[in-house]
Order: sequence, then structure tokens, then C-alpha cells
Amino acid sequence: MDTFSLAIQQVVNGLVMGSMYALMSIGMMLILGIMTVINMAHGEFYVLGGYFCYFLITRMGFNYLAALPVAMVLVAGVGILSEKITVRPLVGRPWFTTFLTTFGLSMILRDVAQIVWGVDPREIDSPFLHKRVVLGPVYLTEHRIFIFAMGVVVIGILYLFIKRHKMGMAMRAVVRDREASALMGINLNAMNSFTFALGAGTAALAGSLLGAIFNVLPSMGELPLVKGFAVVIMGGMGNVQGILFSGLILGVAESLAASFISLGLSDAIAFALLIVILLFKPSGLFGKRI
Amino acid sequence: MNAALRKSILLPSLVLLLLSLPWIFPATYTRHILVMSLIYTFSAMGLNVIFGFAGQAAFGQPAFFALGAYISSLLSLKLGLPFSLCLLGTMAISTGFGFIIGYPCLQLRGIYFGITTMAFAQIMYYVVSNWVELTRGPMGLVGIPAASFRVGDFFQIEFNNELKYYYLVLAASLLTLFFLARFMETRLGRAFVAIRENQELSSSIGIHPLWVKMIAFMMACMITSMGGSFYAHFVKFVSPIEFQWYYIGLTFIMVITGGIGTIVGPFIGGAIFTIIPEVFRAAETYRNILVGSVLILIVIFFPEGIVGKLAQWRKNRNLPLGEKEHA
Repeated sequence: MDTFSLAIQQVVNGLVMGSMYALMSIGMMLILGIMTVINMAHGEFYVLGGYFCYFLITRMGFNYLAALPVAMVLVAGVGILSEKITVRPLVGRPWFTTFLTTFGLSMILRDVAQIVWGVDPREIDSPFLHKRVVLGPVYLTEHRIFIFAMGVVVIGILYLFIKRHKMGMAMRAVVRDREASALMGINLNAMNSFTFALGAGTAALAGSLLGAIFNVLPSMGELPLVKGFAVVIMGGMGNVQGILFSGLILGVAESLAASFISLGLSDAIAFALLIVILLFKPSGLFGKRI
Repeated sequence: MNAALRKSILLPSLVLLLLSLPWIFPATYTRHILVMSLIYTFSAMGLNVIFGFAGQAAFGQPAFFALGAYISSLLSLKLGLPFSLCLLGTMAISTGFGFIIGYPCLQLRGIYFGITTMAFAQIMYYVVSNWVELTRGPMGLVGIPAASFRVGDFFQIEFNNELKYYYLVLAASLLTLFFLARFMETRLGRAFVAIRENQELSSSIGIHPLWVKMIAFMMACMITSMGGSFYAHFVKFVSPIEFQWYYIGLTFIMVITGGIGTIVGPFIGGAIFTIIPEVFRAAETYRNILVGSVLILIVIFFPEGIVGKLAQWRKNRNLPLGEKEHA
């Protein structure tokens, strides 16, 4: 395989990963923007999504496409509960307090996953995994195409939801001014629960989609979490398209670095990009205030 | 009892207690835990400088503990430097790293500053785990020599057991504590607190926010890395695991439990929260669950910390303070 086709192959792989980074980051961005909470437990929602999907398929006999939405709803429930425990009691306290409580929650959830499900990697079986697609120099499984399509479609739906739907407009109003929007009759507690549920659900979707390519492990949520933050900052706050593009840029940059620089250091690319962007354009690549 | 008398009794009796602790708990294992708890007080004191006094939530700060441990072990393994130079070298190099990392990070404020320091902590982790030629990657560095001091031929002392090491680290940490207490009385120390309370207002009275925060960040790096150096020469093994998030969470618990922005609070918190996980060591699998739950409970129900609570209680009883606090 010559360098050029390798590069193209890696760009395509990077786009697939990037769509999932974007999916992770959307939830984190909404939680950060609407509630000023850095949700350190977001990676654990991703892990739980993978595990719930696995057990729905192997123990309950669901098929993959049915397991996806069910796992999302279950994890969204966990998200609502998490918000009640770690964020609700701290309303009005400095922002770093919720960072610490969600950090604690992340430690708890990670060990619970390890105790309940063990450290053995679990394989999610997707029906699209076994068919190969050849597009010129690029080899793909159908599953990767499915992942990319899901990522783009879900982000598109979220975009329209935030732009057009009444709840989405309420969300944007809360980002602008919490107090004023509460006065206008927006229920902030319900809004917080909804935001967490949405974030947890999308993270779970990413976990169950990627869980079919990589194995599901209790510790697998750490990297998507920190990369998610990198994407949020790259994309600029409150900007759904920006998140999608930054996610894709990060995915491509990483997979190119993995094959042309060093596999081990490819994970550090996200942080290097993050730092460079914060230094030269702190409002993010696509930054604008909502 | 009047205030002066209380103060003159309180401080010496505390020091006496610290001096006699290894004799109260004479087993090797308990002495080991005592040394570790003193070592982690450096982490807590360092984080307290930037987070407690200067009010900047530097989430990546605890990573300087692991960085310090690595620098110190490399200085001693690769260059064969004696312990005293390793310690001083670690402090100097870490302060340098603090400058390099602090300058870009401190261009940002609040949440963004916090996340960027976290990103740097992650980069350190990746570099250390991947630079196999220098750090032996995930295998870690082994065979780090024990700490020893040597002056010419006539004086040599080797800190090769828990007891001697305890007194070495105790002296260093009390010295650091004393230095911090005096430092916070100076103009610069007060500038830290001014920045925490109101950055705009303090810059209007001639405090340069960036440079004051830079100094706070570099001081924090220096103090934290000292703990790392002591750790490396005590445990004699360092691996990238020291960069784990568990230790970051733990350091925050130490500072908050002791009392954010107080002098002795982080010292107490650091000691307590090294001992508690050790006590639960049998329940290794539940360790993160315990630490995580404690973190959540403390942040929600006990935000002032031990020293803060005590100060409140004493104020309520309208008694003079036994020691000065910078709450």
C-alpha cells in the first residue's frame, strides 16, 4: 500500500472516529453551556452505554439495532439520577464544586462497572461488522459507515432540535441568561435533568457504536472524555456545527498522526491541538457566543 | 487561658506530637504510612497555593507530583547526582516546567484554565509512558537509590529506614509550612488572595494578575514536585500510574477537607487522606468507590474543611484565635 492510499484510508478512518468524538462532545458542550458544569462522569456514560448494549444483546436477546435506543434510554436515566446527586445540591456554589462531585461520581461508576462486569473485554456483535466495503483504495466495514451515518444524523437532529424546537430554544435562552429565562417560565430543574439525560444518551450511543469496533472495558471512558473536552473547546461554545467539524478534524489529525508519527503519541494530539487553539484563538475555531 | 499562652502551648505540643508519632506507632508498616502521609502533604500544600490562595482551579496541578518523582529519579539514575542535588534540581526543573506550562494556561481564566492544565497533565502522562528510552515507559523506573546526605568525608547520613525518612520529610514539610505561613504575610502573598477575591479590582491597585498568578503556579509546582522527589527516593520505584486520576481526585479531597486557602488545613487533610485509603487497602477493589463517595459528600456537606469549621466554631464562641488563618 503506497503512502497516498494509506493517507486516504486513515482520513476515512479518522472521519469515522471524529463523528463519535463530536457525538460525545455535543452532550458535554450542552451541559457546560447550560449548567456551567464540567461533567467528568461523561466518559462513564459512554462506558455504561457499551455495557448495557452488550448485555441487552447477549442476555436479553435484543438485536443490535433494538439494543441501541434501549441502552440510550437506560443511560439517560442514569444521567438524570447523576444530576440529582452531584449537581442539584450545588446550585449557586462555585463551578469547580460540580467538577469535583462529577469527578467523584466518575470514580464510583468506573469501579462499579469493574466490580459488576469484571475487567474482561466484551465484544458487541453488530450485524454490519462482517461485511467489507471497498471504495477505491479504501477498505471499510459496513459498521464504520453505519457509525459515521449515525453520528452525522444524530448531530443533525440535535442541531434542528436546538434551532427549531421549543425546548431547544429554551435551552439557548438559559445559556444567555439563567435568571431571566427562569422568570419567563422555564423550569430550570427540569432543564438540567433534560440536559443531563440528553448528554448521557448521546454518550451511550457513542459507547455502543464504538464498542462494536473496540472492546468494551470499564476504563475505556477516560480518553473519550478528555478528547471530548478538546473538541468542545476547539469547536467553541454553543455551536453544534463547530463541534461536528472540530470532532472530524481531531479524528483525522489523530489517525494520520497514528500512522505517520507514532501510535503511542497519537492520543496526545488532541491535547496539543487544544493548547494551540486556546493560545491563538481562545473562542474556538468556530467560536461565537450563542 | 489567654491567647498568647494558648499559642505558646499549642504549637510546641503539636510539633511534639508529630515528633513522637513514629514511636506511638512503631511498626514498620505504620511508620511507612506516616512517611507517605507526610509526602502527600506536599501535594496538598502545592495545590493549595494555586487553588486555595490564588483561587485558580488548576486541575492538572497534582500531576507535578509524578513529574517531580520522575525528574528526581532520572537525575539520580542517569546523572548519578546525590539526593540533595536531586531535590534541588527537581525543584528548579519543575519550577521551569511551571513557567512553560503556566504561561500559556494563565492566559485563560476559570473553567478554560482548569481544562488546559488538565490537558497538560495528560500530555505529561503520554510523554512519560511513550518515551521508553528515557523513562522505560509503563515498566517504570526501578532501583532509585535511597536518600542520603554527605558533607565531605566526616559527615554522612543515609535515610535508609522509615524512621529516619520520617524525620527528614517532617523537617522538610514543617519548613515548607513555616515558609508558606510567613510568605502569606508578605505583599506578594496578600496579592494572591487579592487576585482570588477580585482580579479586576486587584489589577486596578497595581497588582499584575498574570505575573502574580504565574508566581503562584510556579510555587505550587515547586512544592508539589518536592513531594514527588521524596516519594521517589522513599518508594524507590516510579511508574506512569502516579499520573492516574485517582491521585488528582485525592489531592483535591485533601485540600478541601483540610480547608481551602488555610495554612495548616491542607497539611492536615493530606495526612488524613493518605491514612484513610491505606486503612481501606484490604478493600482495594472498592477504593475508588470510597474515595469518590467521600469527595462528593465533602464537597456538598463540608465545604469549609476541618480548619475552616474550627475557625467558625471558635468565632461563634467568641474566643481569640490560636493561630492565624487566611480564610
